[in-house]
Amino acid sequence: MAKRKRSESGTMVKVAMARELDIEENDAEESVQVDEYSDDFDEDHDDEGDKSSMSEQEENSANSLLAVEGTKPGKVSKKKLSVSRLADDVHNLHEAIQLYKSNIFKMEIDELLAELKIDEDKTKHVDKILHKLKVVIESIEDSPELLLPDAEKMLSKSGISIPFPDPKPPKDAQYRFKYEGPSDYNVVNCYLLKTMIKSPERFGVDVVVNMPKNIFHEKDALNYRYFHKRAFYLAYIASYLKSQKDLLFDMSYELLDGDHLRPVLRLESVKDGGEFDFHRARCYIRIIPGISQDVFTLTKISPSRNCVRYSQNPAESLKPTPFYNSSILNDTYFFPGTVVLHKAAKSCDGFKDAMKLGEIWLRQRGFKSSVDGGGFGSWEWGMLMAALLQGGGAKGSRSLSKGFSNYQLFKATLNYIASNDFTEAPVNTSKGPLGFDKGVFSGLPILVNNDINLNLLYRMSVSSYRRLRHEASLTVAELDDVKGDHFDSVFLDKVDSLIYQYDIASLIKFPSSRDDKTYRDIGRVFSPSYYAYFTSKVYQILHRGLGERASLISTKFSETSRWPLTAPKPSALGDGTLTLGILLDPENSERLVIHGPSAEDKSQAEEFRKFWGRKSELRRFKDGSIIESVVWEPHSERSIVSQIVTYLLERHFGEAIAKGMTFVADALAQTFAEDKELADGSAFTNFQKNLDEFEFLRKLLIDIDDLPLRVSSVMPASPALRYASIRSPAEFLNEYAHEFSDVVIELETSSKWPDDLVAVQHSKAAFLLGIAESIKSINAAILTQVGLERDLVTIENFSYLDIILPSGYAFRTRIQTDRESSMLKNYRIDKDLGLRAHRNLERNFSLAARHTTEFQTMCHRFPFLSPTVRRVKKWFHSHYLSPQVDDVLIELITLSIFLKPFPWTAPANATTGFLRTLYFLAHWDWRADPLILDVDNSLTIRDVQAIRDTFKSLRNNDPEYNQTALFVAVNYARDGTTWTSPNPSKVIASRITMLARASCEVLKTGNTIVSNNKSIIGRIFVSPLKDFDFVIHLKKMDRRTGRDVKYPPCDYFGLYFNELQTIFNGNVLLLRNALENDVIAGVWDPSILKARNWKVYLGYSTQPSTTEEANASDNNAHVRANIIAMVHEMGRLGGDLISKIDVLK
Amino acid sequence: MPTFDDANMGVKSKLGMAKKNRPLSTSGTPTQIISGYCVLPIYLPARVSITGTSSDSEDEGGPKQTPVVHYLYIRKHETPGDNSSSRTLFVANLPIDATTLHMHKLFSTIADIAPSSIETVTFLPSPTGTSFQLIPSLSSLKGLQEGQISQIRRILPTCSAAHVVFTDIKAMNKALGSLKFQQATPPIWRLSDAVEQEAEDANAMTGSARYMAIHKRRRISSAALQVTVDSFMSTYNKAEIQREHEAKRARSMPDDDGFVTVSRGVGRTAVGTSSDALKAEAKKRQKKGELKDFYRFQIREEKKTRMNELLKNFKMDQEKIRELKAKRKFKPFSSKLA
Repeated sequence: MAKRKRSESGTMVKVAMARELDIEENDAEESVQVDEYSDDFDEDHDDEGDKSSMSEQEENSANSLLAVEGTKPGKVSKKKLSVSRLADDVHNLHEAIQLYKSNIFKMEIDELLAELKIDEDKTKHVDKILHKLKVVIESIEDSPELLLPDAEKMLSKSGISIPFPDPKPPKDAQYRFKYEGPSDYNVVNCYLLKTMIKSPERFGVDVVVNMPKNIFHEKDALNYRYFHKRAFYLAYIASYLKSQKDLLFDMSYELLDGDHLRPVLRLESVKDGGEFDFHRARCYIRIIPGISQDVFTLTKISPSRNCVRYSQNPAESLKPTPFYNSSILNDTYFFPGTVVLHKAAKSCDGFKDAMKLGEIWLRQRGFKSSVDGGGFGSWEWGMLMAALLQGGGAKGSRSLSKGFSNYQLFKATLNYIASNDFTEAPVNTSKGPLGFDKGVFSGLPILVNNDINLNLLYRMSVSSYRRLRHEASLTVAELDDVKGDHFDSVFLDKVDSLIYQYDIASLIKFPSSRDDKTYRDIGRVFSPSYYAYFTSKVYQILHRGLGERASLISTKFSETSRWPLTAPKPSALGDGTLTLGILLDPENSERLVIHGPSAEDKSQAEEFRKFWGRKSELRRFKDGSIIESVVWEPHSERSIVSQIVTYLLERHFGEAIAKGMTFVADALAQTFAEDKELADGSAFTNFQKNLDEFEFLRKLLIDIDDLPLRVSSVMPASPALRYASIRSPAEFLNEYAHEFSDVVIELETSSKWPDDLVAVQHSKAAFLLGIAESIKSINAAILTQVGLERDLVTIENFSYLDIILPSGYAFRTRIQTDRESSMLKNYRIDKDLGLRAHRNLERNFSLAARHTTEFQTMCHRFPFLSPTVRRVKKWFHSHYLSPQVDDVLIELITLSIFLKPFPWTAPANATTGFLRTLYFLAHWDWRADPLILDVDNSLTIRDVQAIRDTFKSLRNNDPEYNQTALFVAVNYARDGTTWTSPNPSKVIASRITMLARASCEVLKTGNTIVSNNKSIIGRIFVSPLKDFDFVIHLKKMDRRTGRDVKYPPCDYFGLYFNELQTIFNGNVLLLRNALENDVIAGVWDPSILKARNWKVYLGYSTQPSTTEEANASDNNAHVRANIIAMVHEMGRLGGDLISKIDVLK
Repeated sequence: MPTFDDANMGVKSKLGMAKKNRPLSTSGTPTQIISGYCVLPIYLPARVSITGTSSDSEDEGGPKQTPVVHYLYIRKHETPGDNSSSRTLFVANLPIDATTLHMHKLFSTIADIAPSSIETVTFLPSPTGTSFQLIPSLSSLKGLQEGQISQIRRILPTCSAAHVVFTDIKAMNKALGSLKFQQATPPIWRLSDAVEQEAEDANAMTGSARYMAIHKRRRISSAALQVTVDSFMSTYNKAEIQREHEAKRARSMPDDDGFVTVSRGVGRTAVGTSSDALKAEAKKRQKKGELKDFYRFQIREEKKTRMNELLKNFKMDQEKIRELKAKRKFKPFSSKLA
C-alpha cells in the first residue's frame, strides 16, 4: 500500500511532464487515459532502480506509445480497462487502415451492419413454429396413387387448386400422383445462416421438404411430369395444413425465384395474438418441395440435354433445355447449397457480413435471385463468394482469402464480377471440368461450384448480367477512388431508378402470351416466363439495332408472384410492364446513318433488310461504296435513339406495342423543346461562332501597337463564351436583343501604374479610350463604345469598352492590371472595402476567365453539359433566383453531376442531366457537405483534405451559416466561397433545397414523370407568389431604343432592381426572374417587423407602434417598420414600370 | 397602418374618438413625441396601386382606401455645447425621394413658411448604412454636361435624415411650433399643389424615364470620358508632385524639437523588399536543413506525433459517425427515390 502511494506521488510529476510530451492530446479524456496508464507503468518498473528523470520521461512516452500500439502485454488491472479501450481504438484504427478503404469507411460499414441486424428476440418465436410445422408435416398421411382427375377432385374438396405449371398435364395423363411423407425436412438459406437483413420487405424463412424417391419414376424428369407431381405434392401439404385448426396460417402459392415451373407454399402469420402468431418477426415461411440427388440420373438432366420433347417430328433434333433442367437440378441443391454457405461462413469471419453488404448493394440496384429480379441476389452473391474462396483465380488459385475483412470480401467479389466475363470464361470450382458446353446457355453467365452441373446463374438474362457487370465496375471505380468517401452511393442510395438512372427510359406494355404462338409452341420450353421471354426478345432486337449508340440496355419487368390456393396458376403475373432503360454513348448516340453490309454480300444484305424493313435503303457513299444503310432525321423533340427504339418495336412487335410505349420524362423534354431559347437547334454552332469571333477579336487586340503598353492577353469571361448562357449568342442588334460577351484584357507588366487605386481605374479608362481609337484606325467597320459600370467612381473598375465586330458579334472588354490585386488586398484606408473589392476583382476578372476556359473544356468532354446547364439555369431563373445565384455557381453544381455522377454514369441526355441536378440539389446536405470538384483529376488527397479543413474551419467560425451557406470548391477556386458568398444566403440556399425537393416531389407523385402530364410537369418551373411578402408586378416594356450602338436595349428592370437593393439594403430580400421580368418579389427581414426602440438611423422606415405592442415588449419599443410606406416608396420609384403591387403578408 | 388615435394614446382623448379611423379634425391635439422627436405623419401621394391584404393589425375595419402614411421625426438640431442660436431642424426618416423642394412644400403647408425662409436643406449620410451614397452622383466624374446629371433625381437610402436650416430662428420656431399640435389632415408629400404638374414631374423623375436617363448616362461619350480622365489625372499628378515636395522638405527640415524625420526615399526603386529577404532567408535555412530521424528521440517523437495525429483523426471520424447516425443516415431503405 505504501509502495503504491509512493509511486502515485512520484507519478504526479511525471504525469505533468507526460502531459507536456503529450503534444496533440487535446482531448481531456484521452490525456487522463494516458495518465492512468503512466501509473501502471510506474508500478511495473518501480523496482528497476533510479533513472534520470529525462530517461524516465522517455520511457514513459515510449511506453504510452507501446500501449497505443496495443502490443504491450501487461497484467490486468482495473485501470487497464481504460487503457485497453484506447488500445482497442488504436487496434481498430490500424485494422481499418489495412483492411478497409479508410477508417471512416469502416465505421460507416459497422454502423450500417448494426442497422441491418435483425432483432433476434423477435425471430426466436419462429423456431418454435418451424418445429411445430415439422411435426405437423410428418404427421400427414400418405395418399393413394391417383390419376389426374381423382387428384384434382380430392383436393378441390378442401378448396385447393393444384398449382400446375404451364403446360398443364393432359386430362388423360397416365401417370399417377401420390403423396408420401417427406424424406427430409430442413430449414435452409438465410434463416439458417442468419444473414437476413432488416428491410421494409419481410424476409422468407425457407423450409425444404424433400419428396421421397419412390413417388417418382426415372422418366418423370421429362415433359414436365416432375413439376406436375411436385405441384400435387405441394397442394396436398397445403390441403392438410388448411385442415389444421390449431396451427393457422394465411396461405398462398408463390413462384420460387420467379420460376414458373416451381411454385411454393407461402405461410404468413395470422394476427390473432395466439401461440403461433409470428407477425412481429416480420417474416413469412415458405414450404419448398425438393428432391434428393438420387431421384434422377443427374447426367440425364444436365443442362446440355433435352428434357422436353417439344416437337412431334422425330427427324428434328431437339435442342437442350438448360432452364428446365437447371430448375430440377436446383430442387436437389437446397440443402447442399446451404451447407456450402455455412462452411464458407465458418471458415471466413467476414463472410456473413460480406453477404449482407452484397445484398444491400444488389437490392439498391434492383437485383434479386428471382428471374424478374435479374437472377442474381444474395444467395448467388454468397455462392459466388464461397466459390471464390475455393478458386476462381488463375490456375484454380483462390480469388478471396479467408482472412479478408467483410469489406475486402465485398470489394474483391465486385472486382471479380467487373473484370471477368462469366459467359466466356465460366467460373467452375467443382472437382471436374464442366459437364456441359458453355454454349447451351447462349450468352448467359456460368457459375458452377457443384458436381451436379447446376449453373447457379441460370436465372439471369443477358441484359441483367451486363447490367450487373456495369454496376460492379462503377462501384469498383468508386471504391478505388481514395479521394472521396462514396459510402452513400455504394450502399445507401437507391440506384435503381426509372427517373434518374438512364438517359432514355421507357415503359412497354407486354402483349398477351395467348397471342404469341411461337412462345406457346416452343418459346416456353426455354423460358417458362412469358415476360422473360418477351423481354429478352426486345433486348436482342434493341441490342442489335442500337449497336454502339447504347453503352447499356436494361430490360426489366416485375412479377408479383403470388396467387391464392383456390386458383390455378395464372399464366402471367404482375403489372405487365417492361421497363426499358438505356445508357447512351454520347459520342455515337446522335449519329444519323447506320451503315450496313455491302450490297454485294447478298445474304448479309438480305438479313439487314429484313431487320430494318422499309427504313433500309441502298446508298452510295463518298468513298464510292454502295451499302445498305438506314438514315435518321434529327428531330427537336425525339432523340435519334428514341426514334430507333420506336421504329424497331413497331417493326418487330407490331404497331400496338410501339403505340403503347411511353418515354419517361417525355413531357419534360417537350417542355424544353417548346422553349424557344433552349430548343435552338443551332445553339452549339452559335457558341462556336461566338468563340471564333472572339478569336478574331483577340488577334485584333494583341496586334495593337500604338499604345504605351501592349495587350498581353485577351481572355473570355462570359457564359456565352463557354456554352453556358441560356440564350445562344447571335448577331448583336438582330431580332433577339443580345448581351455582350465579357472579355478580360491584360496589359504588359509595367511599373508605371499609379500607386493610387482611383488613379489606376482612371488610367484603365484612358487605355480603353486608346484601344477604341486604335481599333477605329485599323478597321472602321468595327464599332466601339465606352461605358460606365456604375455612377460612382470608387477603387473598383468603373469603365468598359464595347466592341461590335463587323459580323455583328458583340464583346464587352475590361482591363485587368497586375498590381490592382495586391493593392486592393493591402488597401489600408478601408480594409473591408478593399477585401470586398478584391473578391469582386478575382471573381469578375481572373477567376471568371479561368472558369470560362475550364468550362469550355468540360463542355467538350461532356457533350450534354452545355444543354443541361442551360436547362438548369432556366429552372433557377423561373424561381426568381436570378439575382441571388451566380451563373458560375449553377455551372459548377451542374458540372458536379457530370464529374461525380456516382452511383450513376455521366448523363448523355440533357433532360436526365437536368433531373439529376434537381435530385442533387434536393439531397445536398450543404450544411455538412462541401462540394469539391476536380476538373482535371489534379487534386491530391492532401489538397482535398486541405479544402475540407477550410470548410470545417469556416463552419466552426460561422456555425449559423451567416456568411457562407453553400461551399463549392474547384481546382482553380479552392476557397470554396468565391461564388457562394455572400450570395446565396442561407435563406436562399434553404429555398433552393426546398424548391428542388418540391420539384422532385411533383415528378414523383402520381408518376407524373411517367404519365407525362404536361401541365403538372410545368409546375416545377413555377414558384408560388404567395410565398412572398409582397410582389411588384411589372409592365411589359419595349426594351429597344433603336438600332444605335450607343444605346443598346435599356435594362429598365435590372437598373430599377439594383437601385431598390441599394436603397433597402439588408431590410428586404428581393427576387426576380431576369429572363421574364414579370415580377419583383420581396421578403422582409423578419427582425425588422418587431417593435423597436426608436433611434435616428434604424435603417428602415418606421411608424409609431401601437400601445399594445409597446406594452407587450417593453416600454421603449416605440416604433416598428412602416412596411406599407416602404412598399409605396418602391412603387413611386418604379413609376410607369409597375402595373400593380400586391402586399400579401 | 396605425390609426391616428394610436398616436394619441398617450393623451386623454376627450371626444372618445378612439375607435374612429378618421384623422382627428381637432387641431388642438398635441403631437406624439418619441425620444424628443415630434412625430409628423404625412400622406403619400396615391400614385401607386397597392392591393392585397394589409395586415390585420393595421386596419380595424377602417375604409380600404386610406392614404398610405409615412412618419417623419423632427426636432430642433442641437450641436453639443452650442444650443443657443440653432436655426436648424433635424428631420429623420425621410422618404427616399425627398428633395429640397419637398421640404419647402412641406413647411409651407404645415407652418406657412415661405421657401425663401429656408436657407438650405442638407441630406445626411446614414452612419449605419454601409453603402450610403448619394445615389447617383457623378461628382467625381467631372466634365459631364450638367444637364445629364440634373435630369436624374437623387434617391436617398431608406431612413435618411436632413438638416433644414432656416434663415432665422423665428422661422424655425414657427415651424417647430406647428409641429407641437397635430395637423387637421396630414400634409401630402409632394412638390406642388397642382396635381397635373405633380404627376408630370414625378413621371419625369421615376420609372422608365429615370432608368433610361441612367442608362444613357452610362453609355458615356468617349469625349466626355476623356475629359474626366484627363482632369482627374492632372489633379492627381499635381497632388503627387505636391506630396513629393512635402516629403522632401520634411526630410531636410528639422521639426520643433530639432529632429529630422527619417522617411523612405522617394524615387529610388528598392532592389528587394523585406519580405523577399525573409523568404530568401527561409529558403536558405531550409536548404541547410536539419538531419531528420537521426537521434532516437527524434524518431520516437515523430512516431508519437504521427500516432497522435492518427488518433485525433480517429476521434474526429467517430464524432462524424455519431453525427451521421443522429441524422438517421444509415437507413439504406428509407429511400429518397420513387
